[in-house]
Amino acid sequence: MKRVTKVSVIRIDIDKYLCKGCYICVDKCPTKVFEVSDIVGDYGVFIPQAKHLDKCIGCEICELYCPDFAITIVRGDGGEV
Amino acid sequence: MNPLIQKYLRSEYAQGKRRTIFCPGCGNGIILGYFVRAIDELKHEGRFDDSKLYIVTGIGCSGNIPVPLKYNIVRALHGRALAVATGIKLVRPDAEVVAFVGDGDLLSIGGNHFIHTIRRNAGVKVILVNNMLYGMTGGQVAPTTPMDAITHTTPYGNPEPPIDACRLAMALGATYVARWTVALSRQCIESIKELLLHRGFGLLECLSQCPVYQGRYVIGIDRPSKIMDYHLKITVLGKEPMYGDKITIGKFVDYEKPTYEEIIWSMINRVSKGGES
Repeated sequence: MKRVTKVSVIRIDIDKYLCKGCYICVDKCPTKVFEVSDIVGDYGVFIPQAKHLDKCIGCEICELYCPDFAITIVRGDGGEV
Repeated sequence: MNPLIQKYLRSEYAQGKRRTIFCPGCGNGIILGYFVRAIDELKHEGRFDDSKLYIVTGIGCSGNIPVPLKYNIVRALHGRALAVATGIKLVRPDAEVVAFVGDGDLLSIGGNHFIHTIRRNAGVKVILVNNMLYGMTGGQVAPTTPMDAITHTTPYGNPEPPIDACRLAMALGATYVARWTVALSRQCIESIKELLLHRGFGLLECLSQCPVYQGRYVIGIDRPSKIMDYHLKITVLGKEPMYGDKITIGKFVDYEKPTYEEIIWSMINRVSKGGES
């Protein structure tokens, strides 16, 4: 089974075009990293942003639950995943 | 766009020029993500060849699940997905056939095909997306709607008891039956992996959320994450399938027996040899 090595999360990208604003990531994050921002996405909704990144434990639950594949977790020292 | 998912999508979707057509917070998109992750993990382990993957869908919102994928997709008639899938499996016995169906599609109009596909034990893998009503046409009552639930066509409560697809499949002798909810991600991915490696008929029922109609009518909450919490609240882990006030989840049966295409092809080989001599 593939094991993801726990390199610390440096950035959580949210695609402005793909996000439809269901806020599953905002509610389901166990440490409440996400917050609804003032930026309006292309679908016409306020898109969430990872504002409290220092609280992130890297469980990837937001990436698994996102129905529109808009969330990308970037790990390590800036290298693309 | 998530790079893991991007590798498996068609060009317009992979370039990020087009979204999936689901409503915000729909469980169908989550199931598509689980399916892609299961295929990706099996390909990493070298146990699965996705060049022979055929996907058949019925009609309904669940028929739109595999549309962004770059595999061979057949859109069948309403309820007739399993008949088409059995045909593909018989012609190409080494191919892997997966059918994405909804609860109204498979259990009401396609109930007969469901029964007879299990009876023959054709090697078709069925992923049943259960959102407890007809989502695409506006929230009408379905065979899986719970009793006393208010829908568009039953404004005073549903008078009919619901059908349990897993119990029906077990009674008919299906060789793999499991039920999970969309909120249990790891269990769903492992179950899809087991389903793809299974030999005979397999059924995975996935309780999914429809925030627009299920949320408005059946449950009374329209926030997608709250509906996922509600699904976790009404389900219990068990070994016998039940579909009432509490819904049991888990893997119910897993065994193997001779499949339809093996029997048919051994018969074809035997008869053709006998004809020559």
